[in-house]
Amino acid sequence: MRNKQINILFLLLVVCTAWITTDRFVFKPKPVKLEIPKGWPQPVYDFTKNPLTQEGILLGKTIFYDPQISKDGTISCGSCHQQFGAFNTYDHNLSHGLENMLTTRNAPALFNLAWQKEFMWDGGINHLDLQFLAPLTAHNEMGETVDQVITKMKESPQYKKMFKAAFGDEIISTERIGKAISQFLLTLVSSNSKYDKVKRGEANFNLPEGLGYEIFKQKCISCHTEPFFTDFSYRDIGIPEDAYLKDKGRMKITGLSTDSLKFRVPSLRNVAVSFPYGHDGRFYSLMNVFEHYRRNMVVTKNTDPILRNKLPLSNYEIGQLKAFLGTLTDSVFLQDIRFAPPGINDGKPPVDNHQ
Amino acid sequence: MIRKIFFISCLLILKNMVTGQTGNTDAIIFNFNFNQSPFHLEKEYITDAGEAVRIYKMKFYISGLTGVTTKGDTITLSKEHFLVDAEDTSSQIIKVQAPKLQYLVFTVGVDSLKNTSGIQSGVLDPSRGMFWTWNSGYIMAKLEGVSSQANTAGNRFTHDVGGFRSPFNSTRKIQLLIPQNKINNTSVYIEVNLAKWFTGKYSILLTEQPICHTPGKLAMQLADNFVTGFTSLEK
Repeated sequence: MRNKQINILFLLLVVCTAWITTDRFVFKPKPVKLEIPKGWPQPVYDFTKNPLTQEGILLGKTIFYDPQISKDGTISCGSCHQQFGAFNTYDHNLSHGLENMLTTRNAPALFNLAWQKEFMWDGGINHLDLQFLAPLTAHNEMGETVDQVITKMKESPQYKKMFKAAFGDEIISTERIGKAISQFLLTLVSSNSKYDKVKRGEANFNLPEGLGYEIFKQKCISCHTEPFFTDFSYRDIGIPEDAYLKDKGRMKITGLSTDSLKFRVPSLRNVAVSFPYGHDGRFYSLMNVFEHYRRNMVVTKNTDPILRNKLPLSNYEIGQLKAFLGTLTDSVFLQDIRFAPPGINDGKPPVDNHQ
Repeated sequence: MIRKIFFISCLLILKNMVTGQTGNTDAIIFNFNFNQSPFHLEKEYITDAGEAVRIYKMKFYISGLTGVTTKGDTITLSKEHFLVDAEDTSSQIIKVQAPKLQYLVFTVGVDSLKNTSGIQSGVLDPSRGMFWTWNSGYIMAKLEGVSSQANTAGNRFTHDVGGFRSPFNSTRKIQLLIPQNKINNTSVYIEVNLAKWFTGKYSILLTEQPICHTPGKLAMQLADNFVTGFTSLEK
């Protein structure tokens, strides 16, 4: 009798141990290490709080490209952040939300976000994990509530499975959605342009590109600092306020009049494909931007001190600068299938339908 | 021997937990009033400035809950954040374990670290409606309702008070002296007079300022007003 009891106990122990250990084996997401390009500083994103895994990245990408997260099922993050435009809205001044609504800003290109501390043109969002909440809940973007998104995801067996694979159980929460999207966004590293190859000794600038780089270093680099081609600061570059949009930029965040009309210095990586330019997309082309700097700037008391006399540029200099800026296009990044919408093109690189 | 001591001390701790010493504090209870009248959501009250208000939402965060004991020791009561909601009585009771307290100290609002360290969960989940998505940061306190004096759509006023960066940091530290007239009472009762929201320090008229949606001067004034409404009573 006693022996039998011991046997049952032993059996129970084995079953329990097996149960516990199998559970542990089931949740074993595959870690992914973000490659830091040579010569770049350490990322500012704290990966210890949200370690990259294949499952997490895949979940993030799925959410990024899922229009069901918007109120009427028409707008995904990918609607306004298109890979062939370096994740800006290709050829659109203001991004489009649901029901034919426009936003008030140009959707910024997305890359190298692990090195960026603040987001949006005014820097209002202080952590990447929080970024998705703004377009998701804005009435003129996706117009949806987080609770509703979670409800929709809970009805999807696919999402339940993916959340379990990424986080160990099927719980879907604001925090997990934010972290998963961040995981995908963090993998968007653009560091394979011709410029990068030249820096690595794998290629050479042609003559105009090389001359353009020298001019760039004299006239542009103090704000568009290497290797990110932005110093992530907020500056007034003499873009007058749009009478309709009335966008005060950074001042909306800090409440300081000295921040009026200041906007984040955008990165110039992939600049040739991420037109139109400016916080409200008012510049159609690079030529427009050069014209702005050399002629059309409206200098006021907030205008950056280094631009008090505008930015004199000769036609010759503009030509060389354009050649150099072209070397910042990272075609590997623009066509990387890891970043393309899931299930699109049978694993072939994305196609730029606009050409 | 060591084991014995350990065992006995465990037993003693357990005993204390079960019986509770006389005069210990085991809960902090928030209770709303409007100039000493019992407060009810959606009921009409007249502010000290003579404006009629019906309040539909009233929520605020508290954090950094600490106490000073009758012996003069400062103790941490909780490192958590709490969201006190006029609509939800369970949110108005905070369980603590502390000896008899002389002072209660806490912050109305969310500490700056939680405002800058990414996405949070629990009561700090952004989906709780106490978070600004376009200008990262928590709403420290929100009072929303209807007033015929508010010149807005549906006469609605929305006072969302937030901002954690200098010079518009809207968090406020409160220190309350706890009346010691009755021993044996284990709860600290905090009365929150919502009339003070409008007139505690500055007179905020809904005719003029029905909307507060950004960190700034108005949010700072409302925060200053709000904290003048907190008092401790022992019932």
